[in-house]
Amino acid sequence: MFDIGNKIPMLSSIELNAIFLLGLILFVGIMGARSFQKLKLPQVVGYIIVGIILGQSGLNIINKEIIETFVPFNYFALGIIGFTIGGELNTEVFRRYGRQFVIILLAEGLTAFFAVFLLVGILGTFILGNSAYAWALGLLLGAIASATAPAVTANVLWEYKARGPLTTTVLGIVALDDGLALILFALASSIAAVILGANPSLSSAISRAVYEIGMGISVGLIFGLGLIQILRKYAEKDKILVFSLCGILFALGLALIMKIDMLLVAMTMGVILINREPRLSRDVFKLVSGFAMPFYILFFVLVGAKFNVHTTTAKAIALVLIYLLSRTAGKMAGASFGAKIAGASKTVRKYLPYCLLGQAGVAIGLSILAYQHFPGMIGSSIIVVVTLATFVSEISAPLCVRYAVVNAQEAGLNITEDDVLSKTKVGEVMDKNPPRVYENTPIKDILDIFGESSYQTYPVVNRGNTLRGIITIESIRKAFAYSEMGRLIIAHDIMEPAATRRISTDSSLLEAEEIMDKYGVDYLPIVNGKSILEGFMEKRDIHRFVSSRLIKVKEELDSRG
Amino acid sequence: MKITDFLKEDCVLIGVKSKDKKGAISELLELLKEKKHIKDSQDILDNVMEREKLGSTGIGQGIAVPHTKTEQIEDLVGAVGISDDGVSFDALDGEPVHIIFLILAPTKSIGLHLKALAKIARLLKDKTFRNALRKSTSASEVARIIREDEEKLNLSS
Repeated sequence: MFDIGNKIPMLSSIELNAIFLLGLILFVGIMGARSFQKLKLPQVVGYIIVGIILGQSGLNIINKEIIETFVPFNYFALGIIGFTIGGELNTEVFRRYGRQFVIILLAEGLTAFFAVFLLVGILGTFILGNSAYAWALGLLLGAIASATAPAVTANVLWEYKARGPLTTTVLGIVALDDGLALILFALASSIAAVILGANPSLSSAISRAVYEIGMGISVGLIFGLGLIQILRKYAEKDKILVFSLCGILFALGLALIMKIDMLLVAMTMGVILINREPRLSRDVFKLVSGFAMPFYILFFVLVGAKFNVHTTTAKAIALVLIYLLSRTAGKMAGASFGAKIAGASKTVRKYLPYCLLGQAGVAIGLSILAYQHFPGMIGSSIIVVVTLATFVSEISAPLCVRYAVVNAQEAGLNITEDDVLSKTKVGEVMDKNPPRVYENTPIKDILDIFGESSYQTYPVVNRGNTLRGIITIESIRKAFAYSEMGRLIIAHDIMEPAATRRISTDSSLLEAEEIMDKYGVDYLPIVNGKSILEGFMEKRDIHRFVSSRLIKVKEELDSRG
Repeated sequence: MKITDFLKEDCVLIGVKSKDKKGAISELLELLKEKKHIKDSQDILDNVMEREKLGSTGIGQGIAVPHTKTEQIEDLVGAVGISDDGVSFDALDGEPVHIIFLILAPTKSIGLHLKALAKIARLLKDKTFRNALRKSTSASEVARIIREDEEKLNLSS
């Protein structure tokens, strides 16, 4: 006999734990998100709070090693998020909003930069007791403050199916925001070096930023075009999905090797795809985002788990508060001002300021870069401040975005036929009082009923309203010749068994349609547990409902420009 | 379609014994079962009686055409019962029934049994035909009368 027992311990325990934890993270994450959804809060907040509870500040089930283990998944999630955001930016959006984007971007980014720079510089001088340190810190934090997290922001927009000018503007700005932050950071770090008396090299810092942005866009461009070439050859959905994921993974991996911004690479790929192959890429984005959910959950739970309350000091908290206040004020004022001079609509002006408060990956990345450039107090202060501020904003930003899209009435406008089908209940669409034929109705009277209404199929019931069968227009057509036979032919003689397959008024239209397709019928009687007829619908009722809903949404969107 | 296509000679019952609707129909079904045209009579009897409850198929002048659909058959199946004494059938005219035409149609068919019903109803409008049928003394005689009358009807129409 084989000794299997010996082999099991050979699997390293960390491996088993990681897999088990992966299950746990996804499970607890989605359950947490569900309860948050019931409270009408964005699911992202639920994931992050679950992360805090399981993570370093809480139960420490997701400890530092586990977080390290999952880093590649994080990259992957970020890549998909970036790719999907890129996919929202087609040329039409750029043509229509491009000028607005740039003006708003500069206004909100620079205002946030200056607000943080000045406040941290002034107040930091008192807290740290060293003005050079405080102003250098202000510069670096200011640059970092200009970045906006695409991940949380976009996720809330997607969760609430938002669509409209505000949504488009937000997505456009968060996509461009990283580039601005990189440039500002390059400038800030070289000026900070001068202030701190180190050997400055402005040109090398600038060229570094140009390199990052240029390479990021180039890599994204190359992989985007390559992916299109491959996708043109395949039509099967599973192949499209796998090739798309391969493309994203290769590009992300290369970005890692080249030390360039992964988000920028992934976003460029998305932009290339949607603009070069709009029709083909619709499938790609649908498939990829359908596949991405578990990675999103993992990503945001880990964001929470990374939060480490034990490293917090009073000075750090003071700096975090200053940073958060000045950044929030700067972002909001800048966005509002920028939207105004860019001539954005009133809704955008009013609600855009709430949508740019998130911070995440890029901010953390830049803080680590700052730590490498400025080891010692400045570097570690930046890490602590940015990390803490990121956690606060990761939780508060989704709430603000939700507030904004809901009040701007853009939530729920990005709906497809499938959304309408799965969100609408049978009870909302069915005819609660359909023309019905009694079992003993003679054929002549049935013809009268058919003449009075537009149904193709009629439910046949007995006196107790129990469903007995259905009569189709086809069977009536065949029975028509015998109408002179008076009471000898009644509904009972020409009815057929009905396709009732346990559908309730609470079932979705999607289920209703599936049943009709499965049984090859165009009608569906809805009965309760005792076979009492509660309603009736035909397939065309579903189509009519879906198209009128979609047309309404489109009119709503068109009216906003 | 001709009546003789689905009404076989071995499915004619001269001298129905029962005086009530259910018994008479049951006798015809037993005959069909005996001749292996159907497998089970109870199920079909229930269906026929259910249909009768919705409205009697006794169309008057001593005639009834009970009918239903069943999964047991692939094609139309018919049976004729002749009763001298008459069967109480809740007929439209309140009179007892002497000629019972039982028609069974496959479940899936839509117009088939309607067509058969219409044919039979048309034949039975003829008084001499009705009287000849009532006085028949053998299955072969019934079959012959129907065949001849159907041919006559086809020629005239």
